[in-house]
Amino acid sequence: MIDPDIEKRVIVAPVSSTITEVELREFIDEIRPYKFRSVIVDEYYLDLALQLLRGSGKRVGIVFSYPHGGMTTETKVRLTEIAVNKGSDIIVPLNMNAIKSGDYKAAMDDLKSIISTVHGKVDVIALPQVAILTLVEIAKVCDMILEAGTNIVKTNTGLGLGETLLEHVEFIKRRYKDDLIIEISGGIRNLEQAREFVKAGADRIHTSSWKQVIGLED
Amino acid sequence: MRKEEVAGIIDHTILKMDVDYASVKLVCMEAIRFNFAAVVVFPLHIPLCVKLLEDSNVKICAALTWPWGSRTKEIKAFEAIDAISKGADECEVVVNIGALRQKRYDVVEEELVLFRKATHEKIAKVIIETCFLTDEEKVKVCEIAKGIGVDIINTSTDFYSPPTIEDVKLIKEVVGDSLGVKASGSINNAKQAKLMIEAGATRIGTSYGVEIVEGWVEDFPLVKKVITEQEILKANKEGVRNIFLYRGDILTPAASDLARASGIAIFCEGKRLF
Repeated sequence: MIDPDIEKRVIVAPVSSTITEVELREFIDEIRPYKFRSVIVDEYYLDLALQLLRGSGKRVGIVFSYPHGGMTTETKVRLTEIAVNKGSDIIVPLNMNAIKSGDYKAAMDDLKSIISTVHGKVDVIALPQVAILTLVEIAKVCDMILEAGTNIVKTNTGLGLGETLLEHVEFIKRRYKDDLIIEISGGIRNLEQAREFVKAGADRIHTSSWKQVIGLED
Repeated sequence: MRKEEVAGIIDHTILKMDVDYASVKLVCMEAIRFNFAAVVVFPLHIPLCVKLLEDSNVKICAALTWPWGSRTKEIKAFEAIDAISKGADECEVVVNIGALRQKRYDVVEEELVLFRKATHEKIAKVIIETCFLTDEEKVKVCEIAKGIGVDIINTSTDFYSPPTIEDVKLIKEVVGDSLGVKASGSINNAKQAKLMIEAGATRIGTSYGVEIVEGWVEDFPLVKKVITEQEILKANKEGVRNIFLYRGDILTPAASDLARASGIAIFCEGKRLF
């Protein structure tokens, strides 16, 4: 049976290297009946996704620089302008090269440039890839995200570059309470797991196993 | 081919998430030391590379939209212009694979025209990601790229399955000597690099440039390496998805079955067995 509390937290992302227009249409038709929070696509499919999901009650978002965060600030800002203009949320992988070097200022400047382009018009979801960070680094990154001006963090890319652990979510929740909205991604495959993560403090769930996660299938 | 010539066609690549400035610096220093053709980096690394490679012949290649090509042509062109303004000598872009698979050759042509225009006189490379394409699609995208006059076709991002030697031969057949052919993807040793070069590759994209050059010999001695079940188990545990065999190597039947069951691809002399 579908768990409506989990269902409304789900974010699906038909994003891959090879997805065709036909496949995207099929995917959106398939998920249309469910009350998911949003659908994430790559920028090439933004117009189509917005058109197909108009009036569906679901938000649309795009990913930048995915999954490595290797774009320059200028390209990220250009994509932000496009997204804001069209009304799409943005998932922004942080400058991990700077973060892994302890250069939080560079990572903050990058994120601030994006947030100042948004003017609060769409959600800015900061993506730090917690699977490759220590808890100390996660705390520094989350402080930085809040200071830069957004309050949504997506834990991982969910592309096999490491999973989100309950400990990650518990740690962020304990430290930031309700100041940060936590979107989890990476390794969430069934309803039981989803409930555990929500109990630990997760607000939203990115998953490709949405049928299992909402309880539609075992 | 001499060691120095091999070094001169290597694109020394660092496209990983968990790298710090020091790792980027190390890659640049290795490129200078071995005289590699280029370093391949994310656009945000360009300013650091410009400083480090100032007095060298090593080129800076920006990996745009990597590893996915599903962006609009405008953004691809924007990113190329931005990368060049920051100091990139070469730009590498992933073609719109979804459009290609749907036979929207017009989309592919338009984006490559804009990309060629954006890169102007710099080197323009196009990644076609052979593992997702039929031979017909591979030929088509190479013909389009040749018609537009990009400089180099690259087989793969190395994010998915590696190219086979048939892929390299097919691309070479279509583009001839008018375009360069870059082979990338799991080219981790000198033998693998040699197979790709013999098939027609004029550049090798790899993070193992140092190992390739140091391991390079004119004639590789025949090594009768036996791949057993234990090796497959170990590979599976370490997350290895592809295993490469060379002339003289032996794969035991049990190891072969286990690899098949574990979804590990086996390549023999550059040809995919399964």
